[in-house]
Amino acid sequence: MKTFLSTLVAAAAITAASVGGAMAQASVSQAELINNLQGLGARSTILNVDQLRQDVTVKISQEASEDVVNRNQYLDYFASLPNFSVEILFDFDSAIIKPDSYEILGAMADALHNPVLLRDQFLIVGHTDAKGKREYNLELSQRRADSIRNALTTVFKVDPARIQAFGLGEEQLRDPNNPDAAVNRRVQLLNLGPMP
Amino acid sequence: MTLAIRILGGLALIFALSLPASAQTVSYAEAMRLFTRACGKDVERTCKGVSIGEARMLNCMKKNESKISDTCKTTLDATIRSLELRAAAQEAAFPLCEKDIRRFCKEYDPGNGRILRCLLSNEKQVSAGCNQAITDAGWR
Repeated sequence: MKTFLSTLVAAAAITAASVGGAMAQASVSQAELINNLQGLGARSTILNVDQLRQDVTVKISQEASEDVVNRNQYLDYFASLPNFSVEILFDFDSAIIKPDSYEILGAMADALHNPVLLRDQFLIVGHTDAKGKREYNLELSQRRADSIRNALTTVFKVDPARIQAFGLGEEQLRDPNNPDAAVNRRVQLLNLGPMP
Repeated sequence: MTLAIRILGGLALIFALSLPASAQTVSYAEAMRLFTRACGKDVERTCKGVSIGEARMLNCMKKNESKISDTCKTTLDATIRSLELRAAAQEAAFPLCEKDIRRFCKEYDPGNGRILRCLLSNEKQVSAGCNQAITDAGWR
């Protein structure tokens, strides 16, 4: 917890109110994305994603079984940032995004190119359900988050400096009582505030 | 705003204006919705396992044009064009509104869409060129 928090340097107090987080869906409007993602004002969150990744790997190796998964508060930190969850479909066991999700990618790009959000940085967080090994899910979700970042920054021309990608695997289930439920498989877009 | 960007913006505008009226810009979401409707099955058949990133999927489809349906072929070209047009329109928008920003929105700090909101709220006074640029950028 302590090491983890040290990697999260919030430049100002974190707002308690969680916004966004609508259910995964087939399509989403630009306006909906913007409404949920705006609002951090002048505060910037500086994240060391590599450190974050390392801490999660250590956490997994320390927790002996699949059953001992502590819900750590630091992961809930993400929920305090302006965020929006979308469902992006991938080929089985792969980071290839299915054509059915191209429209959502487009909508994400539309929102990121809107002047309301144009100066902000974002974190893409990929989540899986709890099927399979935690380490494997962590790695798969990282590849999938990278794949989304890659599409946004090339095909849709979002500035690569504005987006980081982070796979959280099954470490933050949306519905912990139904760990294998589809609702857990989602991609969060988090607003980290203005570019430093 | 650097000169290079201004020139690019200007070129983008000339490019945009030289296109027929039917080539209005659409959002990335709309471009991809139309693409998936026309080409989704072709992608799964012809370019399965090819990532959309770095235009690999679009290039793969283009390379395999002989194997894809006619509807998809037309849509594929339209999609590539749509993506370029929207990017160019967004790049051009603020340079095209520069005079209007100086005239109506001087006191606004950039960021959080403040300048855009100012331009939108002064729509009646803002030049036709700037208004059109905002529309083409999809920011209305």
